Amino acid sequence: MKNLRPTAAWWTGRCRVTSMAGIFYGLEIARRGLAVSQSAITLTGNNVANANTEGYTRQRLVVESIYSDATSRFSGGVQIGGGAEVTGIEQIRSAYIDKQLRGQYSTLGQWNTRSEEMEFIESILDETADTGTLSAALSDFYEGLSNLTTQPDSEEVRTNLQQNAIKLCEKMNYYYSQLVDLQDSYNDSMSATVDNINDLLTGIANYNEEIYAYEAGGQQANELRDRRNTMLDELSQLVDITYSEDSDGKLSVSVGGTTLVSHTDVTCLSAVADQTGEVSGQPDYYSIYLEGTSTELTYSSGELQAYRDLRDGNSVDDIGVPYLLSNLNTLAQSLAKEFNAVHEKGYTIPYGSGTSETGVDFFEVPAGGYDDVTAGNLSLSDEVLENVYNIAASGLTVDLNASDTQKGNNEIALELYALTSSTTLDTVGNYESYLKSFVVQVGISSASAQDTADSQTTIVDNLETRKESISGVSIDEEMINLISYQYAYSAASRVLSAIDEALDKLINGTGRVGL
Amino acid sequence: MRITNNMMMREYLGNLNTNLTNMTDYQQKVATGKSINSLSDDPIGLISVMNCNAKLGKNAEYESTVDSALAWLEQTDTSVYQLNQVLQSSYETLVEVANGDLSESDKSSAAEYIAQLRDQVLTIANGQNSNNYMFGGYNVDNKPFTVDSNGDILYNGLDLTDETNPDLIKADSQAITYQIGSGITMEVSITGTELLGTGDTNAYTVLDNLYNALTSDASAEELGGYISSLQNCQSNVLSIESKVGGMVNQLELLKNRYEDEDLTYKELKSNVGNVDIAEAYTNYVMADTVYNAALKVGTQIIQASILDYLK
Repeated sequence: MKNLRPTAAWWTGRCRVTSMAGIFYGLEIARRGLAVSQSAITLTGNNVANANTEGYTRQRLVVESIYSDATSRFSGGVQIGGGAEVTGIEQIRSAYIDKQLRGQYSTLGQWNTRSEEMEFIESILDETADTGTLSAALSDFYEGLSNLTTQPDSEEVRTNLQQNAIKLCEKMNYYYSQLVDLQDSYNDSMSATVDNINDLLTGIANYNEEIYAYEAGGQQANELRDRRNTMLDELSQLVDITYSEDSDGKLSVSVGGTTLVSHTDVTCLSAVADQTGEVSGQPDYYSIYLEGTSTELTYSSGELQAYRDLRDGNSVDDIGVPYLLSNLNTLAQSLAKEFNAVHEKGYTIPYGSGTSETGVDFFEVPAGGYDDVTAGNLSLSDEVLENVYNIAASGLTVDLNASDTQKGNNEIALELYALTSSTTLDTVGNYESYLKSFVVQVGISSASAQDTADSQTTIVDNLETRKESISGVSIDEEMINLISYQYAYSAASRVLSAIDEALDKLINGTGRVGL
Repeated sequence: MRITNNMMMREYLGNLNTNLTNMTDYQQKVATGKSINSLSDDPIGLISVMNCNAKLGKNAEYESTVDSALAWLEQTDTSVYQLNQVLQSSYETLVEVANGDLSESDKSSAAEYIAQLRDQVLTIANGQNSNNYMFGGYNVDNKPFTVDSNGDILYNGLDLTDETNPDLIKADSQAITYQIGSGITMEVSITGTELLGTGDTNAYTVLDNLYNALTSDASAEELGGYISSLQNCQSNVLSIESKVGGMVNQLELLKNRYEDEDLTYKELKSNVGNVDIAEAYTNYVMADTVYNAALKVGTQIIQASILDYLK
């Protein structure tokens, strides 16, 4: 046996044993055993270190036993395997659950956002409180009218009515402006979400490139894939995506049938301020286009959809800010129209050098007529604001110099007061009932958003638990693995010692008879 | 199923969060005393609460109107009663004058007495309820009844004896009306024309004519003619008195009804909208116990791992 020292190629090569058999063959097997155990211990270390890392998928060593070829046979044709070697590191994850999760994430993102925002809207329209609500303001206004019917000549009563009417207008104005601010913020959120989506799309395309390049060398790009998966998870909460990876490992992502990422090519989205706010008419509302084109993006869930629904929803089964605004506007228009129609018939009480006027408006009528009345601009007419005696409670001319002054005439006051309990008002029916049903609709819509978000959370939790069950790092498991790898390492070392001892005996203790 | 440490941790955190949410919920209910703290808490219950609020608000308005009407009518009742007393005194004086052979000085003092009673009619008819003249219809701030230089009585500047004057007929219809309930209105004022009557048979003119007759030494027969006139005036006043009495009764019934309804609505509102403190507190304590138990068990689960047993 010549050439006992192995060549460099022999040491480092992953090639199979070519012509070695006998005792040195055992040394090689022991060395491989040590190397495998050492890799396993290192990988365990990596898993443990990433036990709490977001998006980390546990990894496992792929170890294969080595087949021995004919030249490594012992005499008599008995064949012993060549030990073990590491052929790869694989991730343990279920692409199926990933796909399911991403479908559910977009629904979860949509309803979580909606339920949080609806709760905020509720806190603005808080009609559950005893004071400071719109219903309370309406009720105080009614009380003022009721007092006017019993004391139409009292300045105090008129002042009280005027102040209560101002309070009612201000409450409507407040609700309106708060809601418009919200609508603006949803618009801004849409644009911010688009920025976020663009960042993720670009990030995914970058990772596509890196992963492809890395894996071309035959290695699995585990950590890079983890990061790309995390990005896909995030993206799927923002908008409903579909994605697929072809056999070459090239990933593409689409939204609403439009491919936005095709391997390394990205089509970004752009939010263009080319429309006005539904109902509110606020300027600079965004449409979302594919960048550089006039093609609008179609999408149906995710946070982006939640913000669009809240910004544009204007029907009872799709309650958004515009629906609330248009309800408040209807209420404001009806108040102005109905009260003015009656009030105009009445006569004011003269004050100073003035005379008893008729045809006076109670609520201000904008230049464009009642259609231009909104909850945001509802206010008392200049006359009524200027002097409380301009509230026309009388059905006949009031003349303070006549024998019959008519100052106690409450005919119009009674008609105004009758509006408060009327159930046949145009569009609204009855003010209180209208307000009530509108408020309750908001409550129901918010409650159902919360329910949907809750049940969606349960579904996602379940899927995430399954995912964690498959892909998560278990410390106990890793520790137990560690022990067995440690034993394996020790055992391989022991084999090495045994062979060493055998060789020692053979080389130093053999053929020395008589020495 | 393969269980990892993270799964346990997530599950544990999720459950703790649920417990805390429950606790916050109960805590809020105990602290506010309300079971509906936002629109979505109980939209259907909220309908009841808002209905009750609307009803209570309307009832408060009606009750305040009924109170004003009662104050107005009680004052009216007093005036009408006084007017009846005045007419009764006039009647008694007249009967005495018409029957007996009174001396001239007695006759003239009777005439003076009638003149006083006549002026009292004017004072009563110009009676006020909290600075408003009660019997002037819509004319609440000027004395409705005045006497012109001829000694004729004017109602809101119109000759009360001119019963065919359309303005006077219109003034007769201008009684003050209150809305005292849903769809219920009531004329709570008695107009001056109704109180005294119109034409020559109005109470003031009858007494004025009687005074003139007494001072002009009218015959017993002529004086006797005033007896029936005064009786007519009195029966008019009596019918007003019973009408006012009837209205007061109706208002008091309404007032009682509103008060009963208030109780019912307040109870209903409280049943739906208020928290049963005992129940809410018990729930809170239970949630607190569960939370503490979860914390205790959780710390034990989280701490334990195989590492505790490896040397």
